[in-house]
Amino acid sequence: MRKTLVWSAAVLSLAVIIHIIAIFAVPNVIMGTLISRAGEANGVNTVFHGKRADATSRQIVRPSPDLIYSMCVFDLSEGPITLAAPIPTDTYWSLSAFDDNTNNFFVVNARQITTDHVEFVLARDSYQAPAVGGAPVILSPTATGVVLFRTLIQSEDRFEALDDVRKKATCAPL
Amino acid sequence: MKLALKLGAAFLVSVFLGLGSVYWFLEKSDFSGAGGIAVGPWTTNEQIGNVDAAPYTRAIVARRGLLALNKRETVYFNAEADNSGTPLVSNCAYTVTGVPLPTGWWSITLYGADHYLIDNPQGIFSQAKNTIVRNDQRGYVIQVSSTPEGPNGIPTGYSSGEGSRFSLTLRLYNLEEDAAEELSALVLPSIERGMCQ
Repeated sequence: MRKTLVWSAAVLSLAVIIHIIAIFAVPNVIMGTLISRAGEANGVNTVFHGKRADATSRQIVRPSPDLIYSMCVFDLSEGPITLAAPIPTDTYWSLSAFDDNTNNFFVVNARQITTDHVEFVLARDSYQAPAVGGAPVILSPTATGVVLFRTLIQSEDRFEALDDVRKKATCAPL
Repeated sequence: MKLALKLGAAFLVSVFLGLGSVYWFLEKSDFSGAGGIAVGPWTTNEQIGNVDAAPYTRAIVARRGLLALNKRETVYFNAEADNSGTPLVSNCAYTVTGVPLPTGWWSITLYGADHYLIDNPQGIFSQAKNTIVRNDQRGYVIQVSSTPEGPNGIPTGYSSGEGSRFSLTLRLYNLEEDAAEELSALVLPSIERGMCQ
């Protein structure tokens, strides 16, 4: 009886440890899979313009069919990259950055931008930006991650025009 | 030899229990844990996308809402049940009734149990602030069923047999500051169940 209790306690204790480790690992594993698969399929430090989400879309869970997404899988291990995009008018637009643990560490939307075009430098948090001049710097807590450009399809008759604008977004080594 | 077998079996049982409980948690849990907020049938978590998110919230986001924006930009509410707490199923009809929301843009999207959009003959997956037809009070009524009638329908994709579970996601982009401070005070759409096939 005592032996059974000791074995049961040991099994349960180990199960709890495995559970906790797995819970901590899940975001890294899922994000790592996205970074790896999307990077292999579409390239790294370059923008991929996804098609409008429908029932066949399987790359990312719970996509919005009202938005069109452009994605840049980034790898800053070789140095900073630049992100640039024109801002479409009269619709929702945002640029967001996610680290390799799913954290949304940066986001900016069209309402917060007064110009018709944005440009950023995305760099590791150890990056020393030039003292004067240059684009604003976004510091990433991890070397790899994802930048997502979201554009709202404000109306169906504007789809092609908005699609053309979002396809001008760029992501490239500095 | 006997001890080695016992240890091996115990290890396998531990792995099964440990990983099985994680799988169960990710499939069954909503955002109502630490930082979770429920408004009627809708639940969200203020920590979504946040650097300080609790490990369980972060794991759910990775499984159910990868690349979700933080609260400052967007608040995501999910509903897996109607007003009475009964799970949403594709062979039933629902009436979603809402009032204007204090947000730059909003949408309600229907997802299957696998968290992807459901194929349907109408090719409609959502209704949104920019597409909805409003009533005289600036509110709106959305019919959710296999063959929704009226201008604001979202099909469930049901054709025959037993219905399957689905969920609705309410996205609130650029919430007004006051509303974002007190999410539990938001007046969100009600979800009333109608006839089932």
